[in-house]
Amino acid sequence: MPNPRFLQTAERWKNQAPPEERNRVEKTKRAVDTQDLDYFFLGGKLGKETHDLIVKKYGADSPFVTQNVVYDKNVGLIKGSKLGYIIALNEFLPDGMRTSTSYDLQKAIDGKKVFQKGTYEDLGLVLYNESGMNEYLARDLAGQIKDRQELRFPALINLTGLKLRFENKAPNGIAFNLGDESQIIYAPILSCSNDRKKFSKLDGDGLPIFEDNGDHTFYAGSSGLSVLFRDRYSDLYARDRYLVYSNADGRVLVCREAARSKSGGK
Amino acid sequence: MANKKDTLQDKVQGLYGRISQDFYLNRDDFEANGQRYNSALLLGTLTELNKGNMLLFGEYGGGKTTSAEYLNAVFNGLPLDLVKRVAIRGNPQLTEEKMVGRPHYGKMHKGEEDVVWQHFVMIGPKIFDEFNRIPESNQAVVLNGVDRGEWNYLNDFVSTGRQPFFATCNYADRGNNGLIPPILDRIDVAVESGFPGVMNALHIAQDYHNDKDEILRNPELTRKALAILNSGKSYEEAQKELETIVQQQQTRLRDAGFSVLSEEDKSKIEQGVRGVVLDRDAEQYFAFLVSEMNSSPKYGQKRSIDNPEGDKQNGLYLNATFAGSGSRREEKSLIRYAKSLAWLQGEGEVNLDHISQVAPYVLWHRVRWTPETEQTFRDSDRKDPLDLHIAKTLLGDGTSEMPGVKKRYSESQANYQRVIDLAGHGKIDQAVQEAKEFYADGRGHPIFLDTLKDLGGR
Repeated sequence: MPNPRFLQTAERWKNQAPPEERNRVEKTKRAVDTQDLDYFFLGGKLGKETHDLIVKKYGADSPFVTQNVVYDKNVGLIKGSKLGYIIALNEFLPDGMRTSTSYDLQKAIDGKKVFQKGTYEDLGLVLYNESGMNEYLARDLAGQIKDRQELRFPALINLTGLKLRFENKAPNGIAFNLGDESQIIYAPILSCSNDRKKFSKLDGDGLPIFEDNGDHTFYAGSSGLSVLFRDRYSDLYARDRYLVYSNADGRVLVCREAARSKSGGK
Repeated sequence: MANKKDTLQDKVQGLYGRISQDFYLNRDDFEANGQRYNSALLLGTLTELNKGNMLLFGEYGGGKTTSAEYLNAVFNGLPLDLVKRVAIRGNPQLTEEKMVGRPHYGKMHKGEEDVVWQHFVMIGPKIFDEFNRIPESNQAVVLNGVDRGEWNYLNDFVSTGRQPFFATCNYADRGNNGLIPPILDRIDVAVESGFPGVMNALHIAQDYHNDKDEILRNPELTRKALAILNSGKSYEEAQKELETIVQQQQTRLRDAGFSVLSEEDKSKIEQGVRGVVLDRDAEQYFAFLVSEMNSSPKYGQKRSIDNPEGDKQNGLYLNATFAGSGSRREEKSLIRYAKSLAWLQGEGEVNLDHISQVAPYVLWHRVRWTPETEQTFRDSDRKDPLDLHIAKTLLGDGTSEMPGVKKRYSESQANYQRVIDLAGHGKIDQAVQEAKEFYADGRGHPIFLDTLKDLGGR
């Protein structure tokens, strides 16, 4: 039997319009989950070619996309990482390839496909609310999500499926567009109240599973729009990064459907 | 001179301004809705309007007692010398007989029992100076009086009703004691009487004989008042006669340009404050705060006998940062003071700024932060005493390391509103289902656990 005082208060506090039915397809299962994937840090011929295409489209000094991300021919690797670059990269990657999610990176580390220590990787966006950090982009993205489905904070947005949009009013002149494949995951675990909790494993959405004596630490954000990334010690961050920041420790992890690559891409 | 068209708010602001400009020189350190105040004087003013209880901390000679004396004198039409005369100065030898009442020794010799009430009890607005110099065991003597205005001695009692009560405390030194938690819980708000700034200090120092107080003093009326108090008349009779003294002093103050408050004004103010309501944001912030202070996913609810660190595994909410729990008195204090602040600002509704700005002053003296919480903030840059600084930070936006209640409120409010909307539109099962999802087995905000309990889902 509900507490009548709660119901009285709810009657007073409620919005006149009844809440919309929640869109139950807000979290789509990744089609690639069940597939055999290869993981590698972007480099070699593919890295060089895609980098050139990105530079051609966005310019070599675009703060939001290319600034401080370079192809290092000495080691044959893309060095540096920022969200804009990764989203742009997805435009140019061949079929069967995409950039990685948080889940992918953990899988790559566990499978010893990459040596992550000493590098950082950008993995997604976390939308905490519509004000504070990166407010313009937060509001813009929140509006797009609301048009499509119910928005609940904090929301994890994977980078695959996102597009860049030239937008004069946006800081740096670029904003995000949700694509058809965009995955928006309600992720209460990324809430600021879980700041500095320990974890060793991630769940199927790439979100931390907390345990008292975990090997890594999660650092939560609390407002606006934040970058989700793992740092050189594999700690998971949803705060303290400028969207345009990049340095030479950044790496871009790419996933390739292994079966397809072996068969020449069918 | 106060204009007849002045609203009651104008009158109160006028008194606040007069004390601030001419008597208790200070610096502003409190802001609500764009208006700046001095916290000691503002909350002291609200204490007068509310007939509340206030604790003033500060250094020796920092103006704690002085501010309380001015407030009681100006807001209640009492001669300043009378206010000083009836205040109690705390010391370890204070007994119930010196504070509350004593046997009538003459009658006692004749085998009769009668009580002589101390002036401290007989005069409404009260000041207990250096409160923490009385031993903890004697602090309980004033418990009921402070809380309800009921004073007991032998088989007699006097009911004064709630009256403004100010207690001053020096910071810990060798001569003072801790304040017992039941007393602290009965104190509505606590403030620090801070350093007023060099120029104000220069001004204060040059008035070394307190000549400015002359306008508030009235030795003749004080003598008359003491004669009434010593006459052996009953409390009710004495109060009636004291009213004449108050009226005479108020006339004098009015002539000196003070916007004096009559009893009728005070009654209207009380009604006005009662009529102020909380807007939805203020009520929901209150709900989030209360849920964090009282709920414990690990132990069922917050208790002073449980280790608060145990709740850390469920997230860095307020419940993991202090020992003990919230109290119903504390919540009443918060609502009362937030409402009176809104009233003073001429608002019909308490908004988020009113309630979140007042909240730290209601909590900081009541809450025992864990050593780990204190350690986190010990070396941070701050303007306030450590406990108040922690309260302001953790009840506001917090830091990047320890987010605050206001931040969590802004983060989870949309989700909470959805549950409220579902329940408000009769979709109880769906509200339970979504509250469960938002609570996320203890990882979500404790407000959702509380909601689940209210909806019968737990």
